[in-house]
Amino acid sequence: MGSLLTTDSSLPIDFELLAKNYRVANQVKIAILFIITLLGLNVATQFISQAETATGHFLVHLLASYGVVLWIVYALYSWVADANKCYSLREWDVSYKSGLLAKKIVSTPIKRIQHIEVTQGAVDRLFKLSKVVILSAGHGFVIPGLQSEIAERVRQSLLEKVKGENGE
Amino acid sequence: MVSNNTAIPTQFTPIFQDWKRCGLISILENVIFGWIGIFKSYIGLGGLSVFVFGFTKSISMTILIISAIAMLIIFASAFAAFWFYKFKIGVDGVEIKSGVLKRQHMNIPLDRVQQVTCNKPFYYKWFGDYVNVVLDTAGEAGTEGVIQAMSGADAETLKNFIDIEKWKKHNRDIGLAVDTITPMIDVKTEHDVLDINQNIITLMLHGLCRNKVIWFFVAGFGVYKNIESMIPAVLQKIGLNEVVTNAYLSGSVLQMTLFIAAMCVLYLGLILIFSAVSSVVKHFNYSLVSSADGYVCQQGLFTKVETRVKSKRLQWLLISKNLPERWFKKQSVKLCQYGESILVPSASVDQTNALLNSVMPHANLSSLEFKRVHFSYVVKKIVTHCAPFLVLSLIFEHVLDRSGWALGALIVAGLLGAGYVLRWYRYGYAQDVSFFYIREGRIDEKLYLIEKFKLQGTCYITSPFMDLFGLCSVKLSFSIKEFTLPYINKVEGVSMLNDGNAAVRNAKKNWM
Repeated sequence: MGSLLTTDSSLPIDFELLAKNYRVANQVKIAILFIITLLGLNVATQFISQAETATGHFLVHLLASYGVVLWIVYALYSWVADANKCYSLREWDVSYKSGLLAKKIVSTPIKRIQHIEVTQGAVDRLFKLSKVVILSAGHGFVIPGLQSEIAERVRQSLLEKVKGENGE
Repeated sequence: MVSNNTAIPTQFTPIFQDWKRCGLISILENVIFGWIGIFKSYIGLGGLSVFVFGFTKSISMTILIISAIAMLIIFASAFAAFWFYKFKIGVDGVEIKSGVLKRQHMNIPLDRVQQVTCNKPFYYKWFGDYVNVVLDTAGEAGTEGVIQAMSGADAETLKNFIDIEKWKKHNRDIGLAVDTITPMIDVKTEHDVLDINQNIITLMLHGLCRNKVIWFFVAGFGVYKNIESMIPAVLQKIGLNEVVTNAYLSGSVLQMTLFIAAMCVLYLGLILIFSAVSSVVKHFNYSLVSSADGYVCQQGLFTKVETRVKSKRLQWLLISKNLPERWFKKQSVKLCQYGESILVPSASVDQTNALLNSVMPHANLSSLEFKRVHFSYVVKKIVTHCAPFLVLSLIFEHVLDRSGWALGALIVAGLLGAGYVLRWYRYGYAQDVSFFYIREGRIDEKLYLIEKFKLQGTCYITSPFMDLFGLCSVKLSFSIKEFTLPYINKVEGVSMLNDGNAAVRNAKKNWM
């Protein structure tokens, strides 16, 4: 992958991995989502009278089992896939690579960046992680799972590069 | 407009420094829009029905009083909207205060104004030279500022003022004196002069061709006469004897189905006629000419609309043609930008070539060789989208014993598969030094000509399946659209991305 997307000036892309605790933070988010969904399903079944019948019980248990299997598969996939997520900051563009089976590299030229943002959710705050959001006209992507100081450094670095490109 | 030989007036005084109201004629427009707004709702339609009913039976005083009250309310609202609408234009931007119950104060900086468009409803001309000025921005809200009923001379002054202020800001940003003539705009030479006009026949043709119902009309008209004997013969041929003898396909149900089909064909025919008429109304007196820094299009029968596209704001050129347009050797060409684009309806081959020479003189369509996406794209789509319907068809036929449903599922699978094969056939891409050329569509063909340096972002996707064939998927993002090229050769995909990024880096001019 190193020589992919190289240009005539032949600088390869050096990808840097996300923070080590990003995988754990992501698993916590998935678990919270699953618990909320399960609670919601439990509350909903209290109000459905048909759930009291034998067929209703069977369908509810089938749905719940399906949900658990789905959660386990998704959690396992995320655990493995998150290890491969990485980003790259070059002189003229910023890239983000993700995916396990279908690998994706998203790139934006520095010259086209219109907006840079650093955001931090509740779970991210616990793990001292942040996301960098990069937007151009009609295009954008998020680099998740960076240590907060690194995210701020990436943001500053991008801002300086953008100013340099615009001749300010 | 400003050219290389013209000095910028440094003492230009904006004429809207104080708060101004729109012209009085805007009250009439607000009344019209008020009525249109009411009649678009069910309440309005219901009221109109009652009113008409009352008129045909006898003129009921109650209905007249209600109508008069409604008219008073609409007029009062229109006057209030006029009274509370004020605008001011200065070097900082456009300020608009509006709203009766919900007050609004809008600021539009001048450099956010992408385009100034003037439109003139037909009832304005009875009261003098008035236009509505529309200020287009690149924001998600799209059009953000409308100044109604401004005099034509003031509107022209306003357009020039906005252009000149942006010119001065550009000079200040690059460290020059504000009145320096800089080649900020591309001044058109004699060879680039464009002048396209479309007559009524061409406009009617555009309305007929652009409406896909022509297909159903043509197909339905041809088949209807023999349909009663055709259906049982086809079903017997493919071995569905049970369906033929089934009570659902005999007697009155078949007659009713054929009657409904005939009514649909008639309805679609009426839509076609309306399409042709609406095309004439919308594009009446169509003209497209080149200006000093772009193109100006004027059209419209009841509402005259003037749209301007600056050359540097142009994002891409779209050439589209469907089958009827190909019969008549016509195609529609669109100059696409943020906000209002310019469409050239049913352009001839000569007009298209003239437009290409003017808008994108370095594009070279004649020597292009389009490459198709790999056939595995079709295979994947058929496996993931059509196969479930094939399986359903088998279940309906052999398990549930419902041949009609099985046939339906088979037809859906067949139509989807045919659609994907057509889409694959159309999918094509090519590139040269300065342009990406992307072709897509199914029965219609759309060709996009995009300058590489306008690229905003890219996406490169591979998977184990694609690696088997040395393929990748590539997404090229531009400001108002993203183009996906699935299952293309990996080397070519990487080359497109690298060339696009290099064009962005080496570009001397702004993408907008």
